[in-house]
Amino acid sequence: MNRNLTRLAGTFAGIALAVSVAMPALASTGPSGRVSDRSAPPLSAETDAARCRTDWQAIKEDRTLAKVQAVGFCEIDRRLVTIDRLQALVHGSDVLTDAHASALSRILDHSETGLQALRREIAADTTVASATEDVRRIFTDYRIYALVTRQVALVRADDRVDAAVNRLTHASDQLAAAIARAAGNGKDVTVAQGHLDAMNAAIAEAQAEVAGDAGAVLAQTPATWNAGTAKPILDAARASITAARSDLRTALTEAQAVLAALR
Amino acid sequence: MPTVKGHRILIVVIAVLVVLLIAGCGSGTELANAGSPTSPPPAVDLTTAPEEPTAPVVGATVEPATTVQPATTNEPGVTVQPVKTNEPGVTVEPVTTDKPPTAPVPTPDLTSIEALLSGIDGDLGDDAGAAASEGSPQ
Repeated sequence: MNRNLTRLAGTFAGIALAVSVAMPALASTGPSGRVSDRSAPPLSAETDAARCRTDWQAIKEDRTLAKVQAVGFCEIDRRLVTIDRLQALVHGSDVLTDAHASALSRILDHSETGLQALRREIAADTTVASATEDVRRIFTDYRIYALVTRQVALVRADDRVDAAVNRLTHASDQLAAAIARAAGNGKDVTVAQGHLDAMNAAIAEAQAEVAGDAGAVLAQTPATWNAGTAKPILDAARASITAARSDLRTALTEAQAVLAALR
Repeated sequence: MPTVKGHRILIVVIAVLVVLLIAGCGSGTELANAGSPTSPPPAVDLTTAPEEPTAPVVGATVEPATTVQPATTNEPGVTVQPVKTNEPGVTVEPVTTDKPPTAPVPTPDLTSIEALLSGIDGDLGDDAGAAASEGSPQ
């Protein structure tokens, strides 16, 4: 009885100690414990085309079924690693809108399951010709790098532009209030107002630059890429984002100028 | 006899651990809320000052956390410090800080916008390098 009581007390004491140590740590993690928006780069030596160079070289020297299959496995595996990293970027992102994150997740999930199935098909191939055809499909049916990776990067950038537009708009409201207050105090706010007007113009230009781009990028498929229509759309979106970034930089500079003029 | 003594020691140890547990949870919550924009203001809150004049009546039973502790040394007819600033017609402290010359200019969060611009650069870098990794089935 006494021994049982002692054991019970010891167990309780251990739990109490563990909880008292853990609770503050648990309580301190909350909204601040957010996953970094840039958890892993989508490209690396593990996913680069050079990873499979040796296997491709082996095929040129002696085209056997095993070597064609080895190339296929290598090309699929590096794509699966890339997809895994892209999924981490999408799921851990705090800039992507829910709709864009869902759309990208669908593309990535579809690509992943398709490539896994294709890997099984290549493993089951019995001739060089069928294995070669399946290896070709790794490229034509999925376009993981030429299209999907670019879709993730461009949509993320697009949503970042929108997020920056929203924050700059909020900053502009604050600056307008500060200008109004300064004017009420008799201060000459001509210079500050001029910078604020320039800031607002730059924000509007940035917003207009990327309008509709994310939807257009997300609508592209390996089929449109193969048809030659996807690449111009992706390139145009990239150009828009680059221009919008320049506008955002201008808006930020103007915001700092407003603050300087009010001091 | 030794077992009874042992029980007493165990009870004391358990009681101390329970107190530590409660204290640990409390401090953890404070830590978690410390940086939150919605965390309550500290005890010295001018918005609650008008309600405090009733506290001196309670006298020594006032809780330690309130700011009316000096009231225990005051005579019943004497008001505590915060009451002096809350007399009818007298504005409370925050209102007096709205004097035009000392009004601070709100500083927008431009740092987070810089971070977004850097993120755009990173995304564009990923985009530029992606196509080269596609390779060719040839």
